[in-house]
Amino acid sequence: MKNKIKMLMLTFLYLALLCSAVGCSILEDEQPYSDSSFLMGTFVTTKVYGDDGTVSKKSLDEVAELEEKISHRVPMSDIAKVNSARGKKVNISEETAEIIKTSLDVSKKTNGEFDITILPLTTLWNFDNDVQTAPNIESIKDALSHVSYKNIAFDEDKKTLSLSDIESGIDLGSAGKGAACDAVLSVYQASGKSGIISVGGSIGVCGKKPNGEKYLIGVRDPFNDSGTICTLALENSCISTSGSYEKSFEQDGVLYHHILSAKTGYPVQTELVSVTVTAESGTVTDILSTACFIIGEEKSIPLLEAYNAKAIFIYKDGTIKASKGLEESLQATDGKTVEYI
Amino acid sequence: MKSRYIKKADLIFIVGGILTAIVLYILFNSFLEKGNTVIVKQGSDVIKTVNLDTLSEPYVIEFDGEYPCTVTIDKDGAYFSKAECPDKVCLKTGKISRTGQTAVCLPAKVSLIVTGSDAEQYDAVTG
Repeated sequence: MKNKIKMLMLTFLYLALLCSAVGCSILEDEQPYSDSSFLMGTFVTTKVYGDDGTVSKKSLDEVAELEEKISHRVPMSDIAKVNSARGKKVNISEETAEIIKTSLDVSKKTNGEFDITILPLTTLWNFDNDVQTAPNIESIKDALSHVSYKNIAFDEDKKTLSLSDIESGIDLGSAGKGAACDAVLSVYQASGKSGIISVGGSIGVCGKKPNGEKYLIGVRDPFNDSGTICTLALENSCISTSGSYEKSFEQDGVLYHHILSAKTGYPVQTELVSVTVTAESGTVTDILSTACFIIGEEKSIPLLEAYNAKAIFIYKDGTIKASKGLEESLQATDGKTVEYI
Repeated sequence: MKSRYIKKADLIFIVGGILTAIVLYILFNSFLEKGNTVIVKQGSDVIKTVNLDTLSEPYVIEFDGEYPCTVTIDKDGAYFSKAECPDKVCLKTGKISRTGQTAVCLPAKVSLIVTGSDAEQYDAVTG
């Protein structure tokens, strides 16, 4: 009898060891379900742990739906309607209203240096064109005269939007990808699953990975196309980057990049090459990464504080500066040093 | 002095169990880490899935359209070998081979994604 009990116990122990060996392997190697598509003029990737494809598909559908509402290129979108309404009020969706609200607030806080009525200028420069040339000064001056967030009449309660200058136009290119991250994170949260969404340079993370680790986000090295300059460990937050290397062309020895100044009509003159912003909301990180690139490090500090956001500033000379509070999550690669501000 | 509870045979049984568990763990992992696969997509459609380990010679896919491009896959990875898009970002990306890496030609809407069971260097890259 005694021997039988002992044999039974040993058999259990044996089985437990086998199960834990195989179990450990499975846990360590759990792979997220991943899907991708081309939406919002960029490459969109979902990664969801424990998904059978349902959550990923719903997420991509959400991004496509948002694009239908906020892209000025989609003829029946809220924004296209406002741009062609010749001053009349247009009813807009909740999602569009949220983006407009944040955009206008940042426009006010930056005294119009960040401005979503920049469409006349972005159309003129057209960085997506096959053949790129710098526009002449007269056409830049003309486009610039129609750029002002003060042309926007927005009723937050009634969700109406209009433009007082019929030549003006709204371009949410500096907010849309982050807003798409917010929309997808809501899908992840509702499903109770952990995952990550990448919409161009904007990324959103929901929860932690199944192994308990935070998501590790690489920040692209502006000086090396295929490398990363630092990494950030994140959970339940978003991150966006704006860089002068993204879309650019050279003409007569001058490099023209796609981040335009709403004050001069020309690409922003700065010593920065990229600004990365992290915060809870993707809409905020997308807008602030552009705004901070435009206004520079010094003016960015109070703006970042107002949104409880943190940033990484990378300069042409390779200097990396980051907001205080990122010390634990930020890791510079190749022994680079980071100055915390 | 003989132990009342654990005999030599029991000890062999326990040690055997531990060793078997270790061997199984190693075998399981080596089975999972058999090699990476490259998924080639155009838009949302999967055009081809290629296991790098099965390639003895380079595999080439040519895409027509407004922005023609050529994708080459060999046992060391996948890359855009030719592209007529304006920005040439896809060509600058170079060869990808690690799990989670992507190479994308936005104008042609062609993407290369490496999948596998080895740990990804990053979960995503911003910028």
